[in-house]
Amino acid sequence: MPLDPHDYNIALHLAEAGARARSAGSAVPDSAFAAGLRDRLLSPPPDLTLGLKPRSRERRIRAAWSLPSVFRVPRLLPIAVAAVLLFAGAVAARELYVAISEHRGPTPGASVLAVLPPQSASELAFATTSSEPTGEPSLAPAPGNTFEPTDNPTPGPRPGPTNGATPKPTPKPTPVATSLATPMPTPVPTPLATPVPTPVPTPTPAPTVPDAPTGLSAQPGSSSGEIFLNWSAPSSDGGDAITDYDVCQADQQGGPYTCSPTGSTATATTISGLAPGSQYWYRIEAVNGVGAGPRSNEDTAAATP
Amino acid sequence: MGAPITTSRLDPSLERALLERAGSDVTAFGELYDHYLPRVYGFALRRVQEPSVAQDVTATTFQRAIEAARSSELPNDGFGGWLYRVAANAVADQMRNGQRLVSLAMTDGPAADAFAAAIDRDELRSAMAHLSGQQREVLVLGFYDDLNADEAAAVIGCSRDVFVARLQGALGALRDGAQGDVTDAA
Repeated sequence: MPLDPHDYNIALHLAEAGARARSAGSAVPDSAFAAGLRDRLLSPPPDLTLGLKPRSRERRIRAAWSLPSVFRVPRLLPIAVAAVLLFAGAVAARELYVAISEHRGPTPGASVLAVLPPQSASELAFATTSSEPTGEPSLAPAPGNTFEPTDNPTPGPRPGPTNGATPKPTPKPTPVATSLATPMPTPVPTPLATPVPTPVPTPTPAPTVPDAPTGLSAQPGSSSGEIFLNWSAPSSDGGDAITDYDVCQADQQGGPYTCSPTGSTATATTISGLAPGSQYWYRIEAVNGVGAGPRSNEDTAAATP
Repeated sequence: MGAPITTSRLDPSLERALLERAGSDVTAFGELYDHYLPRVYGFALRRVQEPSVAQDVTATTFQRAIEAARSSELPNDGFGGWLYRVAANAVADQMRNGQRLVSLAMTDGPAADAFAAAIDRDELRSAMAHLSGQQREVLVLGFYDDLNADEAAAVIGCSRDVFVARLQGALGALRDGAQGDVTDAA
């Protein structure tokens, strides 16, 4: 850099003094430290890490995370922790369950209680303490929002525990009318009762396809060119009601089968329009909202001549 | 004019090539690490003075660097300045955590004292004490830490031109102070 000539000697002198001072102080890092840090930095990052760090003098929790590089988009962050969990959960695991608790005590802190592996791929449930609000509107699902509507009734007035109270059309409000306290003849309202912990949503298993129908029997029908089929409903509907059955027909044993819906949940049907006297093979599939399940046993019959 | 004012540095085009691969290629980041580790460690140690604290600062600095590299947030140019600035912030964090009383001008502390003590011309050494904190800061960054103008400007948070102007101003003030000192002595 251009220097006033008068200052050049000063600059040179300072540079020499600096070099002397640098080499005099043992500014070389410990070799074990240098190698250890190098290994730590260069080891591949874990697929998903979530670190929580309490900020000093605040009750807020700072969460830091890193995703596998394939998911990483520069400057996408920061978004809410919940959104990241949703993203990672949906893409990587289909289910991620994270519970975070905050310690209250002399040293505030937080810890991840559990990060559970996918179980039934049904529901992304999390209870988290979010970090500071971000501008991102609502990538995060509302608590309790699940992929499948649950049958949990909204908390309403419970049917009162039977203590002889006759139901009235317009119940007279009492101080304990809305409390969930255990029924007592003379309840003393405890205004500062310990709050009932919010129940952590338990994942409900996802509906699957129904099991295979059983006991398929094929018999010649009552008219020419007909075959009568009946079977039993599967033992499990997979968690979703059966809406239909598919009749799969083949003209040789083992298929190939051609399936068509009966359009009914009846467990019997008559196939008509077949070649009289020809033999056909059948299998049945049960269908629910998820899809068709495995096929039943195979049975065969000749169409009524 | 024999003494080299700067020590060897990474070739800028090599450094740029390493930076481009640093996020995905561990050997590229390893090369950057090997080159900058002693510099960053020394930078930290001159300010915090305790090796264990300097190690913490160094680890924090390079941890941020690898995270930035993996998310493609490293600058293509001026990596050294970026690194020293992160290190300077980590030093400031350490100071706050340790609740030590330090002046806001970071280099106007142990580093400035050690640098001044190393100057063997008495009139220059005593003139250092009469400079402003900002003037001492640029001299320490430029001659004691041996940062180039871009790196030093990044640490201070100013432009390169501003840093150069401050450095020239500080040298001029040092010369004037030294002459005054000589005059006083005479």
